[in-house]
Formats: sequence, structure tokens, C-alpha cells
Amino acid sequence: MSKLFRNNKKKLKEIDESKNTNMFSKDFVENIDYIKNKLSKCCDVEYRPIKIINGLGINAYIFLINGMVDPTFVSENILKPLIKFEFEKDEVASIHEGVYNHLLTVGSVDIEKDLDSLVMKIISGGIGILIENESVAFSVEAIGWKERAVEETASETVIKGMKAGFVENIRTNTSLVRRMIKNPKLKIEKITKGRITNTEINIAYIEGVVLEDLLEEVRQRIERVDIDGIINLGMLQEMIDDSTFSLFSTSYTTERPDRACSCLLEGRVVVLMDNSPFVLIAPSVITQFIQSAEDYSTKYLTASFARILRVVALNINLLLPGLYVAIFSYHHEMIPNKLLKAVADAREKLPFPIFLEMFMLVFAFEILREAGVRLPRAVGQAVSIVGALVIGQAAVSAKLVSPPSIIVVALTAICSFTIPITEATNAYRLLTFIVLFAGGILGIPGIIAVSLIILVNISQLRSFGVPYLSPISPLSLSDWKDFIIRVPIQFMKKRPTQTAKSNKIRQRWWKGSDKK
Amino acid sequence: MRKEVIDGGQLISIMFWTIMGTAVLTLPVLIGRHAPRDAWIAAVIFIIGGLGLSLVIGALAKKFPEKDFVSCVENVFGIWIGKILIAIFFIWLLHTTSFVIWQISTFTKISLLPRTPLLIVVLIIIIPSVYAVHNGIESVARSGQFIFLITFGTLFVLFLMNMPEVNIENLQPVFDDGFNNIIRSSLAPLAWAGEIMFILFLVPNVKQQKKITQYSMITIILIGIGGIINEFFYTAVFGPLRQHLISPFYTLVRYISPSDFIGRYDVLFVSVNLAGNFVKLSVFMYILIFSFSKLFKKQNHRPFVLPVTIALIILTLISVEGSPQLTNFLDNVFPFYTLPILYGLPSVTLLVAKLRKLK
Repeated sequence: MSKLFRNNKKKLKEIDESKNTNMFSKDFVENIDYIKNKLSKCCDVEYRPIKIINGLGINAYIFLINGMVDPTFVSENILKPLIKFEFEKDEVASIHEGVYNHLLTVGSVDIEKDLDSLVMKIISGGIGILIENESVAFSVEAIGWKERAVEETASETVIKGMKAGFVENIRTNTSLVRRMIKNPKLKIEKITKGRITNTEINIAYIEGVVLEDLLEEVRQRIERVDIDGIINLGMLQEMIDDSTFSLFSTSYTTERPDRACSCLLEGRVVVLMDNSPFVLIAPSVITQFIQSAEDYSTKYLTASFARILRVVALNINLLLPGLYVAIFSYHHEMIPNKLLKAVADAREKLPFPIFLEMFMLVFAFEILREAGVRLPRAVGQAVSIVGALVIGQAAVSAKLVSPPSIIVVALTAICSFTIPITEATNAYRLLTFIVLFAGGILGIPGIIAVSLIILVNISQLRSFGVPYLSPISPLSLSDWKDFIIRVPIQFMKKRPTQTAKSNKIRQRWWKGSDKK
Repeated sequence: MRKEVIDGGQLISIMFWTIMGTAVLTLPVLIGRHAPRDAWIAAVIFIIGGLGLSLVIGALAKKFPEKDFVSCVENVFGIWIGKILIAIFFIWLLHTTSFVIWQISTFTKISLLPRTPLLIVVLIIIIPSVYAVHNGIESVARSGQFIFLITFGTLFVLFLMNMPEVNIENLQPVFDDGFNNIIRSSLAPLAWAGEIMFILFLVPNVKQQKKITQYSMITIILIGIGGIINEFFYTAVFGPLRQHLISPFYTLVRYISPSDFIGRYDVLFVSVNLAGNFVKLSVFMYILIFSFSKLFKKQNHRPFVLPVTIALIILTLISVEGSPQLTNFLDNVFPFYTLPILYGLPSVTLLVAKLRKLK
């Protein structure tokens, strides 16, 4: 065991080698060789010697990665001034100061004092400029890679409200957030994670609203991550989540800038990651199961009605198949006679027990749903025809399943799409099966026992220190204004109590407040 | 380990169901045996007894705010006498929990799963509680509050739906059963009210310890009002017949039939009762396991969860012979040793602490 551990440590060291600092040596050629050596066998790296400052002809070298920088930008703003322009040598203390002050006609220039950080800048889309006989180099940010434009969100669509969604570029995403919250108190901190991938992670929060403890907790958890590479946000989410042994996840992802911003205003922390069109919201509590971004752009009565619908749908999704099986196999006395007769007639000649029938149907639906996500657009119609006709119609006429069971499964399936949060949908997909089994084996007491176990599981969860069952228990009535019922915005004067203990008051305006 | 904190609302919620859970099932029968007409007076005596005990609990909690009841008793009586007293309490609780489980499982078995073996029903009942206890008192409290919020109204709605059946004349004349019978009928409710002293085990976990007296009084009054409504309806609906009912509430709920379409609300009642009794059982088992681990000076209660659970399951299956035997036992034996333990132990502890001028 200890041997394994030691080996691991050694391996870690090999990769971490790049973190030793390498200052510039006096020798220009040596510096260039060092960088060339680091970037050797990278066919996308381009470098060339140039003579800078018209007339003086000082040797310099530039490095860039093809495809990551904007070529017109490089030639117009870097190469042209460097080669063609000049300045009075007496005015400046050194060449590099002159280059910095007079020649580089771009905004973001960093002065690099060690070679490795220069290499890092180059491979993340910068241009490295080395000048002969100078102890520093420049890196110019000239990112110009191709990316997806800001377009409508795919996963959280609304009818009214903001359409734009996050994209893969983290700077575009931060700009989307910054455009909504124009305040210097919106802080965006940078952490780089992934020993090999060097992925940029940003923590956004509003100073003065966010709780220091929460912020520190998020920071620490991200700092603790030590992995070779983070490819998508889900990996990061799983690594900083509290609920490893629960189906429910204690942080949610969203694709919508407006949702991220309203979370920021509530005192939550938003974690953005480069290459991810989703952002992470922490902490998250159970109320968000039924909150959709649209609730705030429709009238409060409509929104409240929609939320009550969602609560009902959530419970139908979880319980209906299980209850159906339990009632029809154990508790016939509960059903009104006419209904019992209707279902019994429909099931008269069926070969399977009701539990098996239900299980097959729910399982078939899950397969259809999984196929629906994976299949190419062109064959989508084929699958829906097979799904609807073969499994639905043909199974009924072949007397394999009964129409009432199909109604139950269809209703369950439709209800599962009302949940606005994908994390919750995924949890409920599995829980439906568990409840179905419990109902089939033990009847209603079994369903109650399973529901209680789920309840206990939720109740012991904490999301970054905030109890997951938060506005229900510990009970805080002011948070119920934005839970099952959304009261008019004027009445929501406080931020959620659990996330904004230090700065609760959200709005002061109300009729008559001018007189004070 | 992080200190677990529960707030006042959670405390009231879990204590409500801790007492109400089996009280709904059993107390009407026990009261009805002695004073069927004046049953509601027993509920009033329940409130008086509970409020008296609440004062003792409040005083003890004020005196030892950072101590749970085990270390409190050990502190007051000295280690050895204290340990013996706690051991007596532990054995009482083990026995009581075993027939609490028996009651719930038998009720569930009779009403919903008549052909399932008792052991399986016991497992269905006990597993959620074991899981909750394993997660600690915070988890018990939070799920307890959740259940309280969704079930609290249900019982009262079920009662109100029986309004058409009420016949006030069944209650008259008041005090007809005789003073002795009324007192005798109130012994069992008093024993149930004594369970409010479980708060003493949770004192260090409560957020605002100064308000413990209020919390326990609110709980007692809530349950007491529920009890008065309960007993009122049983007598008013069933009249003298109630003496012969095995589970009046169940029968009462089966009376409800507002429309021809849905006529069976008993499943709803059994479900609510199962959820409530989950809270009761969780609190009982938490205190049981907690006092056991404290008896052996262990901070972590988790290693004891499994052994105590197995002991409980075995005890449940062997300690009760049948429903009539249990009813007789609860009526004729149980109150007479329970009252000294639940009321006597905290009161004597408080008295001795005052005499010894402990701080």
C-alpha cells in the first residue's frame, strides 16, 4: 500500500516539474532555445526572429500558436509597430521600457520575468516577445480562436425573458454576467486547476452580500482539487459536492446568465469554468427544484400556479407508478368500484402481473428517452414512430399491456419534464424505479418507507454548509415567499436567510416610503 | 465532530409526533375503558401533567444548559448511582420502544398488509428510523419538521369531515363516569405526557436553551388540544359504543364519506400515522442509543446503532403476545412504573441538585 502511494507521489512530481521557476538568463539565444525546447514537437507553434525598432535593428523573437491568435491583430498591432515604429532612445531608460511605452499598441501586455510563465501565456493564446539583451519579455493577449456565438439556451428554454445563454469561452461568460451587474462589487476571482490542462476557473460573487464563510468554503474546495485535467463542469461539480452518497446533488448548474445573476444577488457563489457553457451555483437548496427563470417574468399568480403544478408533477413523477402498482396489487378496497371494474376489464386477458407490466413500460420509456438524447436528428422521427406505435399501440392490441398502465407511464414521463433543473430530473428518474419496486413488493407501507428514507437522505445533506431542506427545515417563513408560491416582487424584501445572513435587506421601496 | 444544533420549531415538531404517534392509536382505547363519556377530561389532565413536567424540564435545562440528561444525572447523584439510574431508564426505554414498534407494525399489518409476516413489517417500520438515527439528531429533527408541516393539518381535517356524525348528547351529563374513574383513566395519558422529558436529552443541541420551557409547553398544549378534539369526537360520534372499539380513530376515519367516488380515507390515515410514528421511533431510538453510548462514555453513537437495533427487533418479536394482552398491560401495569421514571427521575434530580446547591 505504502509503495503504491510513494509511486504516486513520484509521478506527481514529474508533472509538477514545470512549476519550478526559470528566470531569464543573460544569453538571448539560450532563452530562445529554452522556449523552443519546451515547445518542441508542437506543430502548431510558430516563431520567427525579427528586427525591431526601425533604424536600430535590435534582434527580437516572437512566439505564437497558430489558430489561437488573431492573425490580423498580430500583424497590425504587434509586428507592424515593432518593426516600423521608432522612438527617441534618450527618452527611455531601457529598450524594453521604450517598447512597452511607445511601440506595443495593444491593451493587455504583461511583462514576464520568468520563462515558464511566458510559455504558459504562449500556449494559452498569447504572443511572446523576447528582446535581445533584456532581462524581461512581453506577452500580449491576442486570443482569436473560433468560438460559438452567444445563442439561445438549449436546456432551459423560456417563453418570456432573456434568451442568451452561456458559451464555451469564459471571458464571454463573465462579460454576460458583468453586463447585468455593473458594479465593482461583483468580484471574479481566478483559480487555475488541472496539472496538465491548466483550466481556468472563476469564482464570481458580490462582495458585501456573500457570506465570507461560504466563499472561503467554495475557494478551499476548489483549491483542494488536484487532478491532471478537468474537462467538463460535471467533474468539478462532483469533486466539490457534499453529496457523494446521495442521488440529489447539492449544487446546480445553469446555462442562463439571468439565473446566475439572480443567484449572485441572493448571496450565492457562481463558479464559471473555461470551455463550459454551464456555470455552477453554490449553495443550492431544495426550493430550486421548482423555480424556473420564467417565474419572474410572468405575473406572480401565474408563476405561483406554475409552481404548484410543478410540485404536483414532481410528486406524480416520483410516486404514481409505485402507487398504481401498490394499490392495484394490494389495496383494492381503496379504489372506487367503477374504476376498479374498468381497470380489471382492461387487464383481464393480460399475461403479466401488474408490477412486471409497469416495470417494463417505465423501463421502455427510459430507453426511449436515452435514445432520444443520443440519436442523430435525422433518425429522430423513426424512433418516435417506433416508440409510439410499436410500444404503445401494438403492445396494447397484442394484449401485452393495458391502456391504463400506458396512461400512467405517459403521465409520469410528461411530469418528469416539468422539473426545471436537470440535476433533479436525473435524481427522480432513478427514484421512480425505487418507489416502483417498493410499491410492487410491499405495497403502500413500502412506498412510505422508501419516501421516508429519501426524506432522511435529503435532510442530512448540506450544501456548502447550508441545510439542503432549508426553508422547510430549519423553517424560515420569509423564504417561503419565493417557494411554492411566489409573492409579488414588492413583498420580497429580504434575501434568502441562509445565504445572506450579513446583508438581508433587498429592497426598501414600498408605497409611502418616500414620506419618511 | 461538529455539534448538532436543532431549533425550537424542530424540537416542537419532533416532540409533537413523539407523543402523538402512538397516543392516537392507543390512548382512546385506554381512556375509554374507564371513562368513555368524560374522556376529554383525561386530555385536560394530560395538559396539566405535561405543563408541570415542563416546568421541571425548564428548571433543569436552566441549571445545566450544556449537559444532556445522562451527564446531568451522573453529576447530581455521583457516577455510580447516576449510572444505575440511567441504566434503569435505558431498560425502561428499550422495553417501551419494543412495544411501540409492535404497536405500529401490528396496526400497519392489520390495516394494510394482512398477509405479510410481522418481521417484514417491523423491518419496513424500523429501517427509515435507523437510517435517520445513524445520521444524527439534526437529520431526525429536519425530517421531523418536514413531516410535521405536511401531516399536522391532515388529522384535523379528517376529524372535521366527521362533523355530520357528531351527536353532542353523547357527552352529557358531564362527570357522569365518577371522579375515581376519570382519575384512573388519566393515568395512561399522563404516562404519555411524561415522554416530554426526552427533551432533557437534547438540551445541549437546542439553539435557544432559555426557551426550552416554552417549547415543551407549546408541544404539550398542541397535543392536548388535539387530544381533547380527539376524545370529543370519539364520544360524540360513537357514544357508549366506543368502549368496544379496538382502534377508534381508524373506525372514525372509515366513517368519512363525503362523496360516493372516494370513500376510504383510512389509507391516508395509516400513511400519516406511519410518517408520524417514524418520527416517534427515530426519537425513541436516538435517545436509546444516545443514552447507551453515554453510559459507556462514548462520544460517537453510531457504533451502537446496529446492535441496539437488532436487540430491539428481537425484543419486539418476543415481548408482546397479542393486542388484548398489550392493552391490558398498558392499562394496568405500564403507568404505575412509567410515571415514577418519567416524572420522578427529573424531579428528584432537580430536587437533589437544589439541595446540593450544584451549579
